[in-house]
Amino acid sequence: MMLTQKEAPPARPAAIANDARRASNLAPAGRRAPVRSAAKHASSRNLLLVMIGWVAVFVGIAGAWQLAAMHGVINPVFTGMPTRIGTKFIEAITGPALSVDARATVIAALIGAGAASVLGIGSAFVLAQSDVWRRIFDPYFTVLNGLPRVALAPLFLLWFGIGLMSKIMLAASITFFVTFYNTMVGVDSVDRDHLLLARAMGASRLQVFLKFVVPSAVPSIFNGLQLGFVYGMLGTVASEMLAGEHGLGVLLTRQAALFQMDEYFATLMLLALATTAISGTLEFIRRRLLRWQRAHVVKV
Amino acid sequence: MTGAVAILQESAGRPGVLAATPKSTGEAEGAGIRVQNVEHAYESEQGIVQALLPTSLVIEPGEFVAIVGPSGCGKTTLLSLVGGLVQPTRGEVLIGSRVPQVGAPDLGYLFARDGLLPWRTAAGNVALPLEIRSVARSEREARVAATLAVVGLSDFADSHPSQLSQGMRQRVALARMLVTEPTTLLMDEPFSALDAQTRLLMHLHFLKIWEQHKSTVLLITHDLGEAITLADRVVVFSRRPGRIKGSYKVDIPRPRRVADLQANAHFHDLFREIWTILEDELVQGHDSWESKASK
Repeated sequence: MMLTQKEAPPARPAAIANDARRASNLAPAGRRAPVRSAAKHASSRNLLLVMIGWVAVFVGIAGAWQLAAMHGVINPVFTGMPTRIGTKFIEAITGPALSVDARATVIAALIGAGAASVLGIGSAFVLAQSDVWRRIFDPYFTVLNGLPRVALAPLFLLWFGIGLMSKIMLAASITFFVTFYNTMVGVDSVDRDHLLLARAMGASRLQVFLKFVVPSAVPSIFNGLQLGFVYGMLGTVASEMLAGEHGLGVLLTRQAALFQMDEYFATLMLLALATTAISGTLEFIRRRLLRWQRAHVVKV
Repeated sequence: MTGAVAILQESAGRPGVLAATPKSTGEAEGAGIRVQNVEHAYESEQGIVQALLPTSLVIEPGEFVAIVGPSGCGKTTLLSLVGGLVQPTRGEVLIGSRVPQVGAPDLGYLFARDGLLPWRTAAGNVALPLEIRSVARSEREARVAATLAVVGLSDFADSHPSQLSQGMRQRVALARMLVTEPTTLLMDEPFSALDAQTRLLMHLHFLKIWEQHKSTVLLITHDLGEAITLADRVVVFSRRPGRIKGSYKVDIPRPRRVADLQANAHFHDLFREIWTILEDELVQGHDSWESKASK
């Protein structure tokens, strides 16, 4: 008797929660709008705080770095100094570092990652059509994907020379598998209910592919593209660091060898900026394409 | 082929959308369904599973038949056989004079899960079967608008499924089935995922649509009340392996008012009569389940 009385109170909140859930289920979508705009309001208020935080973190790190370098806590010969790095960065974005080297790196990465993405997405779509083909290629892809691709850089330099081609090939050799596997995951994730529906509607194989499989694979294809581009930059810069005529990787190797640390950090900033600009563009396209999928925002 | 949309248009107030389609007279339009000694077995890791014992069932053109039975009794298998989604191991199914073919234009399917494509709007989802049948864009748009009006979702044409409630989503799915104007409707627990209140509203909606249209309907449900509310005839299935245990005519006159049925004595008599048979199956199924669990 005591026990039931003790247990009784917790049951009520659960029932209320249940009612509330049902009520929100039945409410027309328009009623939810106030909640959403309130959330938006809160997030715009937070944005100011976040931006102040960004500045604070930057000033804190750069300031500590500057002070430490000025007072001999760290040796600027090895670490550079933020004020001088700033000057060198302005030199970099107004000089050949941007117009020649950054351009060479970005072009190589875009061509390599772009071509590899087309191939990667394409082969995933083709192999997804046939279980046999897929199983034939699976072990080779697994082994090649496991191989640290940077190990191929010397080989590609021998084969394709120190120009554009060897960078493109190294970037592509990494990006291909990233986009391939991400597309495969997307194709495999197609909802079984959707496939049943497609059959019930009498959809042809091509229609099933175009109207059901491809759209449901788009989110993970975009994951692949964004990751693939970042890896494409990695491959390009690695190839340039080994040998090359132009490119941010070439600059980095040279500046490190000459102990030009301020220049080195300025080049790093340029590299980060270039990568962020292109990733940002991809993210923008993704958000436009996937507006229906509000919850899905993955940062790469 | 006259379809649901033709009549539904009237309520939508959009005459002439389907000018070529004659107005429904309220007479039977669907084809009859004939299930003759059909059985179905499939292989699994535990060996051969008999999903459906030899079953025969005749559904008249324009008849609304509901099948009730314990879960796993083969009701869904029967629907899949009639819909051509699964081929019978033995026996034959005929819709009209033809063997059912999946995706045939006169068949409409509605499942428990709405299966809406999340990247398409409500209108885009309803348009899907028309796109697959290569219906011209202008006709497609008119038919989609008319059908959305029928299910009362005109204002939500541009909403994505994630913005809709469960009940609204299932109404979009209903519109997606109706938009092709099927004459035979195959529905597998279409309202089972909805809460009680929304389900009642769906019954109301659906009856109103169907009673003007009178396509042939095969409804699978585990809800006896739903079966009696909607159908002309209730067929009771035994527990696995499934076979037909009884068939009951629901002689409640149409048009039925869902809200009034609770006060209808005949509704309750029928419910009690069928329930005694169904309860047997449920209880025995439960016993064998318990004895298995205790082993």
